[in-house]
Formats: sequence, structure tokens, C-alpha cells
Amino acid sequence: MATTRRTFLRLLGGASGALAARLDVPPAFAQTGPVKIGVLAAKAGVTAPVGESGLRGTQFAVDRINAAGGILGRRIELVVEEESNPKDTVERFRKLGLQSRVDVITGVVSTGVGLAIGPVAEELKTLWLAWDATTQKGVEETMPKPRYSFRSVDNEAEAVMASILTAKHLKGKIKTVAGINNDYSYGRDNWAAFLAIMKKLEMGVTPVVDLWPKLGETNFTSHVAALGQARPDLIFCSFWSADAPILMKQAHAAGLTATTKFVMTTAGGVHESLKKAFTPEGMILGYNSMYFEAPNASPLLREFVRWHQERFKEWPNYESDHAYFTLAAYRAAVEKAARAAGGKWPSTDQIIEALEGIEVESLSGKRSYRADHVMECSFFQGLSTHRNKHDFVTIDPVEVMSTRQIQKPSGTGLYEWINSWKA
Amino acid sequence: MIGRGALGLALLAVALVPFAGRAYYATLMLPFFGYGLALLGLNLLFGYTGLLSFGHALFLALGAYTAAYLTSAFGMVHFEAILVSAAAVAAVVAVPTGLLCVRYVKIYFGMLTLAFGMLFYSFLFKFYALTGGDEGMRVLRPKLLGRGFDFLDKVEFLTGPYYFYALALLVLGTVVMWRIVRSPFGLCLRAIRENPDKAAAVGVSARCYRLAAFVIAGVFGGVGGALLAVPTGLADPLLAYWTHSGNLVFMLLLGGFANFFGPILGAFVFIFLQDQVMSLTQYWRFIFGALLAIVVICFPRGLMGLFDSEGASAAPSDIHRQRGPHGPLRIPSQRGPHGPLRTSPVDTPAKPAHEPLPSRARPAGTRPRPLIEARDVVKLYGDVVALDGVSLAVREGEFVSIIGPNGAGKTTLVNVLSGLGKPSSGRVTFKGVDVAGIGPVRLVRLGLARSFQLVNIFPGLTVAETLAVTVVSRLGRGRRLLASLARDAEVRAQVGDVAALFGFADRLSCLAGTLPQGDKKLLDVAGAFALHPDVILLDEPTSGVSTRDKHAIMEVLVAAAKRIAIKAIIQVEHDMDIVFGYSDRIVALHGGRLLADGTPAEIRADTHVVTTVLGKRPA
Amino acid sequence: MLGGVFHAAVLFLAAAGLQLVFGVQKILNLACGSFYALGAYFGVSLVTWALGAGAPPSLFLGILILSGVLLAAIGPPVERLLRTIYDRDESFQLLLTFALVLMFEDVIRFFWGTAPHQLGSVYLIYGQLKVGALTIPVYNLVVIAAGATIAAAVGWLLTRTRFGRLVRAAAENPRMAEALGIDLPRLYSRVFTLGVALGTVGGALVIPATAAMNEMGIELIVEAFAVVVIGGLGSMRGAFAGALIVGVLKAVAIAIYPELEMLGIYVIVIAVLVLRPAGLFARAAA
Repeated sequence: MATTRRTFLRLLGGASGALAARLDVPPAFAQTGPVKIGVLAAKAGVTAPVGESGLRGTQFAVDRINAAGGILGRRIELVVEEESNPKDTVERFRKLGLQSRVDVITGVVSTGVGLAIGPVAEELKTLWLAWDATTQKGVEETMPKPRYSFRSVDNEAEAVMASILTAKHLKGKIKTVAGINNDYSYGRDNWAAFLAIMKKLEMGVTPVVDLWPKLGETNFTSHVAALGQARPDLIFCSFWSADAPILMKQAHAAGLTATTKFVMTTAGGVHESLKKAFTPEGMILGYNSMYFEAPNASPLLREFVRWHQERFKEWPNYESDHAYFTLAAYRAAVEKAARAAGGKWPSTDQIIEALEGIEVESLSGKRSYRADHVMECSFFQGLSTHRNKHDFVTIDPVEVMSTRQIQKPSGTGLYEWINSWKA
Repeated sequence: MIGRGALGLALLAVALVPFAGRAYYATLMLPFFGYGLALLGLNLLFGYTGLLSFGHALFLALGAYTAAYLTSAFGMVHFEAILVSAAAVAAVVAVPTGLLCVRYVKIYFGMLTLAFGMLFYSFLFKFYALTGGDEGMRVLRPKLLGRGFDFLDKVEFLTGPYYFYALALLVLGTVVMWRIVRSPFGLCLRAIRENPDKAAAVGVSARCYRLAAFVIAGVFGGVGGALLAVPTGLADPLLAYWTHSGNLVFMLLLGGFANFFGPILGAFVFIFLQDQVMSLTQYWRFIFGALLAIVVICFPRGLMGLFDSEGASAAPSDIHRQRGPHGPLRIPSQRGPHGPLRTSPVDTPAKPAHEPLPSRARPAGTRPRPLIEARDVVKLYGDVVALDGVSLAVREGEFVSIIGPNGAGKTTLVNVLSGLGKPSSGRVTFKGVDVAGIGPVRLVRLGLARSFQLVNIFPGLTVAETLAVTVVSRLGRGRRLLASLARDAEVRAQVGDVAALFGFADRLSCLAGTLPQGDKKLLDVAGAFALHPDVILLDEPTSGVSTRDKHAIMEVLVAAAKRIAIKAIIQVEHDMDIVFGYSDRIVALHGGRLLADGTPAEIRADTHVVTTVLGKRPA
Repeated sequence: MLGGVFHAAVLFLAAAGLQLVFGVQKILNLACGSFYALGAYFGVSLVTWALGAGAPPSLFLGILILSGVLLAAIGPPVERLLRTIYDRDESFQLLLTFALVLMFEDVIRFFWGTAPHQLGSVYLIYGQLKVGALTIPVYNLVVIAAGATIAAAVGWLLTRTRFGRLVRAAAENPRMAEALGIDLPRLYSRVFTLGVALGTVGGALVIPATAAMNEMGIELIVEAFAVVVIGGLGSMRGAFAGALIVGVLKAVAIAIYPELEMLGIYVIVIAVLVLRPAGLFARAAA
């Protein structure tokens, strides 16, 4: 019995080995046809607008690269698949890697999906450049030393920056704070980071209430009532989807915006929905890593904003830039690696090597990948203002901080890093 | 026909997928194995027991989280241990939820299961310290049969050893489920699906069996979930979300719940269709919704229904018919025959005992203790007094007829005596045990069976199966999950006996629902006899049958009673020829009160009875 | 607490449609959330268009209600689809409405895209009310009043009108009703359309205070479902009470122990199902 089983297992192993051999040899046409780039973009659910924004940035990048002759003469061909729940998205990822045989995969917004995809990228030895989806757990536990995944910036970077700005603008002016954040890791992480920094910077504030509406909630009247009752000096909120304008609208209607300061770390992602009618001035508002009206915007950003406005009649947000950067970085890395390899199309390993530490011009300015595969870029936040030509708020003054200031460096824990700050 | 050949070919094809050089499609087969297993369980619940769960994803999530917990929190990577734990966890959760859920059927069952699924989803989401919240928990690569296969990378592992391991599990699960649905237990489930009240009347407790089916379904779901979680590498709360449950039901229906292999086919088609359509258009949900609508409206028997074979068919052939009662709590309201019904003559064979009527068959010289006794029974329905202080005792050897005009309380009395209705006051004892309202299941065990006034059968079961349910119930075989019913010689012999006695021998494979009206009633009666009770209550066994056939039926009944050694018969009857021809004693009811109780001769002489009940002087 | 009542009013409108349809046709319509979402999107579009065409802003309430009523035109065709399986097991009817949920989700995405839609500035047109330290937008009161009015109107319709008597007769015993000459298909079509209208009007009414997003339908189903279970399937009074319970309970949870916001509702649902499976108000009114 035992011997037959062993024989069987050996047979299986042999079969799989044969299979693996076939997988490892890239097909001969791969280096002459178009570069296939897989994109995982959310198309339904709360993350759908974010996925769409990423797709727009991708399209812009692909149009530009192809117009300039592609990557080493090879045109880019996109293979777009849908990001949905973790299970299905893992399957889509495998399809891109094993079936469509793409050269690189970009995309993914949701954290849970990102955590599932990370290990699969390593298993398939498929290069994955994430748009977003980076929580502490993902960085510290699940993917401690990724080789094939290149990650976005830490989720908490915007909370860190917003907290620093809170200290800068409001130190001594606030005594109590309240939090309203979505009931999942992103919301929890942001609130925890905010409180830790308030403590570290000796703001002397007391948290009076923390509310956790579910992601996708469309009615905050009860939350607003609870906030009104707690009468905090400051409300900290990390909403990033349609719930941000809904909360502002209902808070404004209940008179809360007149008496209380707001920090919206991420609502710049849905900036067009923050209408002046209900969004106050003087609120700390974060645009994540791209601000469409940056005062010293590069020609590239201006071009993109124009392109975006013409096509979609909308002003773009940060996710476009995450997506744009992944493609720009990939192209630069391939070209850099090819130079080192004598003009030949580089291997995945060579591309990875080239990606580590690469710096390229992105929509929002210079962006790079750290050696530990984490993105470095600039964050844009500021105080909301009504003085603009739009019907929604923008920020003025615009504060810009590099992730070198607001993201924990490689090899440390977030709180360890915050505690090491010099006051 | 889906013969064994086709099945073998399909299995061979599936086994060859990893060698086809398309690694992606091999990995896509893995969720198919997981869903296949889970759907086998779900179909035991829906196709066989008639309960539609809209929260079955709960068990898949449980299995997935068990795998996650064991591998990442406890470092337990032996997949066998994971599977056993997943099954155990699913069972542990299924028992209490099942206890609460199976009290209801239909929409209510669906809603309750949905609520539990969403409760679990919220729990997973909320207790992030325990479950990882929205980020879920990692499911690490397991060891199979103690081997890590470390020389294989994950894709090779998944499309190699894991593939065959999962396939073997699905085959094993299929075999186990195949045996379950073909066991006496499986037959009882189908009986409950067809008619839970009738099942109870033959001693099959709907609640116990539904619970068992729920737990089995949960265990299959748990194992399927663990199987599913390994290729994904993550257990996340969305696994428990209600739309995932909806997808499971979708797969079930797509393949066809009426066929044993339907769910497996459904899982396969769903997964591969989703794979293609998702790449084709971002509006794949619309296409799937439309597909589901088409299946529901035009092909309710699913893909399998398109080329179905009788052999593998599980569910009733006519599923357009409403099954059972509407609400969860109502007694069946099947409509009786409207107006005169023409029935084909009952095939009363010449063979069965044509002995003279056993009036006074058993001398009742010494008056033994009453077998069944009602004392001062009052039954109120709201303000209506259905029974008003009725006392009655039936002793061994008696054939008692209950007569009375419509509304006299005859059926109410039978219901109270057979434990269906609890008397508002008074005592009912059977063999000295207080049986007021204890329900038919326990009364059957004590030795009391009954038939119903209105047609009460399992429409989708064959004659043989109908009788087998009762035999299985009497022999206590219902607990045999894996035994083959077809090979149970004792059950078969006894079914044959009863069928021969009642003239069904040549129609054993007829669906009960297709029998003529009179035969449906006779089948009900035959079922009651097959329980070999001490006392049998017959509620108008010959109503709806032509006068000519009535006597033939009575002959059969009396002969059967002798053969089975039934100690007493109580019947409700309108036909005075029958009443006076066969009874030892006659009990006359009027307006819920006992009007008279005596021998046929005494009743004949009772002018009061004659005028109020009989309305005319009997011949 | 008033926040809870506001939420309850919204829930009631959505759940009332569900109840009406279940009470009469015995169909548990999962797509009720989709009607609500459609109403919201359509309301945004129609009001935006009307204001753009020069309609006075203060009329937006009327336009919203009109949009909900107009949209109810999808009721008869959808009912026609469901009619094909009236004689089938409830499970099939439930599944068909699940199919509708999937389809409507993409219909919305097709017409309105994925970005949230909102009515930026009309919310506070009716002003705010100051009660002590509290500031209440008048529109919230309008929605609450609309919920109560619609509840009363539906109650009146069902108990005081010929239509209502027919509906109740059909709900009680469809076969008998048919035998008595009631045109059941027509009645069902009307009832279903009324149910749709309750959902679409509900969605349209709430939109000034919030924003329309893709998954609002699916999210709402779960809560509407909690409402009808707690209140009792098929009962209008149950929908009213259930909505109040869920809305207020949520508000209380948020005020006292925010972690229980969602979990608490399921616990109540299961408790009710276990203790009083027919709901707190077994079907009486519908």
C-alpha cells in the first residue's frame, strides 16, 4: 500500500514537474509581440469609482507610451480583469498570469484583496505593481519580504500627515476629538495612528467618541446626532467614498460644521462631491498623493487634467496617479534593465532589480520605489477653501509632504517609528 | 441517459485536466471541487428535504476560517486534521442554528438562515482581533497525508497533489452523499419534503430529520469551504455574505436540484461561465441575472433537466406543483375532492383472505384494560366547541365506528386521539400513557397509527417508497445514513407484503401522485397498516369511493388487520352499511357530545341516534 | 433619536413595498432594494434636469415624488415576469427576485456609472429648525412626515377603499377572490406596482440628504429584511413598527455602544425569529 502510494505521489510530482517546466519557459513570441499588461480594476461596489480612476490613469499612460513607440519598441496591450472579492480576484490574477501570460499585473485597491493577491504573485512569480491596498498587517505580517509584489504607500501616510497638520494648525485650540471612520482595517488603522500622533505630539486632547459605520453606509443622521451630543472640538474622519459628502452634508445640516473642526484625511479622492453648499472652509482635507490643481503643477499633470476633463468631464484624483506611476516605473525599469542586459528584453528578475529604487516622473511629480518595494511619493493636503471656480471645495494653502516624512521607513513598525520622533 | 460510462468519462476527463498544460484551468477546477462538495450538502437540504437555505455560505466561511485558524494561528498544517476540524466546527455550529432554523420551512427557513449568515458575516467583520476583520486570515499551504511536497512550488502543488487530493475528496463526498440519499434516512428526507405531516403520521419526525440533513449539509459546506480556502490562500468575511449564499443556490438551480449530479454540474458550469463572461464584459452580473431568470422560468430543472434520466432523479417529477403547506405553522390544507369523484375500481384481488367478517373476532369476555381512553375531552377552537366532554374507551379486540353528522366532532376526536391536537381539557391515554398532544411521531412509536380523511400522501414518492417509509420508520432504520435501502431485504419483503395485501403489488413503481383518488386513500391506509400498530384510527377510509368498492376495501382492511394482529380499529364512517356491517361498537357524536355508545344492535334501537344521526331507519 | 426616526422613515418606505407584495402575492421580493436604488438615481437625474431647465428649486420635492411615481412604470413588466412562476414554490420566486437584483445592479451601472450621484444644494432649501442646542434640517422632518403620510395613505387605501377590500380579499384567499370575479392578474399587477412605487419614492425622497451609490440596493435589502422580520412578514403595521425599532435601535446603539451598530440588529432579528417567528405583528393589516 505504502509503495503504491509513493509511486503514485512520484508520478504526480513528475507530472507537475513537466507542467512546471512548460510554465517556466516563456513562449517564443513573448519578446516580439506587444507587451501584455494585466490590470485588476474594481468595477462594482464601493471601490468601483477608485478602480475606474485607476483605469483612466492607466489608459493615459498607455496612450502616451504607445504614442512614443511603446516599451523598447513593443506596444502595450492591456488585459483588464475585474477586482471583486478576494477569492474571485485571486482567480482573475491566476488567469492573467497563467492563461493570458501577461508580463506584469497592476491594480488592486481593496486591502483584503491585496492581502490575498500578494502571496499569489509570489507563487506565480508574476510581477505585481499594486495601486493601493496596503495596510500595516499586509506590510508587516503577510508580505514581510515580497519579491514579485511592489506595494503602494502605507495606508496610514495620510493620517500621519493630517495629524501633523492638525498639530500645526490647531495645537492648543482643541481639547476633545471624536472619530468617525469606516468599520474596517483602513478606518481602524487611521484612527489609531491619529490618536498615537496626538499623544506623541503632546496635543493634550481627549477622544470623546469613536463611531464605526459600515463601509457603504448612506445615512449618518444618527452618527451626526451622537457627534453633536459629544460636542468634540475636532472630528477626525477617514472616509474616502460617497460617504464623505453624505457625512458632510448631514453634519452641515445639523449645524455641526459651524461649531466643530473637521479633518478629512482622504476625502480628496471624491473632491468633486464635496460641494461648497455643505463643506466648510478651514477643514483639513487630504488629496492623498495627487492634487489636480497643485500650484506648481508639472506640464504632465496639466496635460493629464486637461485630457481627463475633456474625456470624462471630471477632475481627476490620486488613484489615476498610482496607476500611471506603476506603468511609468515598469517602462523605465524595463529600459534600464535592457540597457544593462545589452539591449535584450530583460528577464523578470532583471526588471525587479531595476524597479528597486527606480525614480520616475509621475503626474504628481517624482515618485520612486524603495528597495523594500514600497512606493515613495508626495502627499497633498491643506485647508479647504471656497475661493475657486468650482462648485466644490479645494485647498489653499496646499501643503506637500514626502512619504520620507510621513511614512515609516523600511524595517520598522508604525508605532515604533512614531514613538521615535523627536518632539 | 447519464450512465456509468458517461460518469466515468467525466471523471477521467477531470483527472486529466492537470496534464492538459493549461495550469490556469487546472487551478480553476479547485473551487469547483470545493463548491461541488458544498452543493452536494446544500442539495440534500433543498432537493431532498425541500428546505432552501439562503445562508449556506456561512458553512463555507466556517470551513475557510477553520483552515485559516489552524494553519496561521496554530501552525497545524496537516490537511486531514484541517478537514476533520472544519467538519467538526461546521457540525457544532449547525446543531444550534439548525435547531432554531428547522422549526420553520419555506420562506421563513430561508430568512432565518440568511439572518444567521449575515450575523456571522458581521461577527467576522467586527471582531477583527479574532478574525482579522475585512482583511481576513491567511490560509497557509497544508501538508497532504503528512507530505509537504516542498519540491513543488504553489502552482505545481495546487495543480498536482492538491488537485488530486481535492478530486478524491469530491469523489468520496459524492459517494457518501449517493449512499445517504439512497439510504432509509434519505427516503425519510424525501418523504418529509413531500409531506411533513404525513411523514409525522407514520412516525418520521420532520424536525429531527431536517436537523440531521441541516447538519450534514453544514459539514459538507465546512469541508468544501476548507477545500476552497487553500487555493485562495485567504479566508475573508465576504465568503459569508448573503450574495455568496445566493450564488450557491444559483449554481444548484443551474445544474438542477432534481438530479443527484445536478449541483456538481451547476458548480462546474457556473465557475467556467463566470470565468469567460467576466473577462468578456464588466456587465457580467446582468448576464448572470438574466441567465438565472431564464433558468428559473423556463428550465426549473436546470441543465440536468434537459437530459435527465429516471435513475438519477431525486426530486418529484412535477415540481410545478406547490409543495406542502404555505406557512410554517399551519396544518396542511390540501383540498379534498370537490363534488363527486369517479374513481377507477380498486383492484381488489381475489386472493386475499375472503373470510367472513370478524365481528366479535376476539371475544371480549373479560374486559381488559382500555388500550385507548379519552376522558371528558373538551376541544375548543376559539369560541367554537368542537368536543364537549367526550369520554370513550376502546379495548383490545374491538372494531369501533364513530358516526355523526358533519361537524359533530368526529375528525377532531380522531385528531385528539392520535395526538395531533391537544385537548383543551380532559385526558387522553394510550396503553396507560398520557398522550394528550404528544404528537403523532411518539404515538406511532407507542403503537397507534392513523389514516386521514382527506388524501394525504407523498405525491412524489412511488408506491413502494411510500410503503417503505413506514416500514423504515417501524424498523427504526431511519437512522441508517449510509445503508442501502434497495438492498435491505427485510424492508423490501415487508413492503411487498403490504403491497400485496392492499393490491398495489403491480404498481409499486407508480408515483403516488398519479394514482386515482380512491387508491391514494387506500395507499394512506396501507401505510398506516404497514406500521403494524396495536390500534389503528381510520378517518373515513372509504370516502370518495363508489359504494361497490367500499366493501371490497373493507374486506381488505379487515383481512390485513388480522394478518398484522392489530388489536383494535377505530374508524370514522358515514356509510351505515359499512358501519353496521363491520363494527363491534358504534359511538355516535353530535354537536361535540357523545350521543350514544353501544353495539350495533343497541344503536339501531336508539331512536334518538336514529333520528339525529342516521336520519332514517337503517335497513 | 430623531436621526433614528429619520432612518426609520426611509426604511419604512422601502420595507412597505416589500410587505405589500409579500402580503398579497406571497413573494419575498429581494429586488425591493434595487427599486429603492433606482428611485434614488432617477430622482437625482430628474431633479438635476428639471433645475437645469429652470424649474424653481423649492419645487424639487414634488419633482422627486413625481420621479418615483414615474419610475413605478417598471412595476407592471417586472410583475409580468414574476407572474410566470406564481404557481411555483416560493423558493423559485425568491430566486427570480435575486436574479432581478443582479440585473438591476448592472442596469444602474450602465446608465449612471460607478461614481456616486448627489443633489448638491437642495437639502437645506427648506431651512433648518433650531430646538435648543439641536439643529434639525427641515427636510428630515419632511421625509419623516412623508413616511408617516404614506403609511397613513396606504393604510387608508387598504382598509377604506374598494381597492383595499379587493386586495385584502385576494391576500386572504386568492382562489376565493378569483371565484368571486376579482381580476387577480390585474390586481397583482397593481399591487406590485404600488409596492415598486413605495420603494422608488422612498429612494427618491431620501436622496437630497444623501448620495446614490451602486451598492445602496444590496445594502438596503439586508436592513429592510430585518425590518419585515421584526415587524412580521406581510403586515403594514409590522413594517411601520419594525422600521421604528431598527431605526431607533441603531441610533441608540450608535449613541451608547457604537460597536453594536450592525451586529445588534441581527441579534434582534434572530431573537424575534426564534421567539416570535411570525414577527411582532403577525399579518393583520395587509
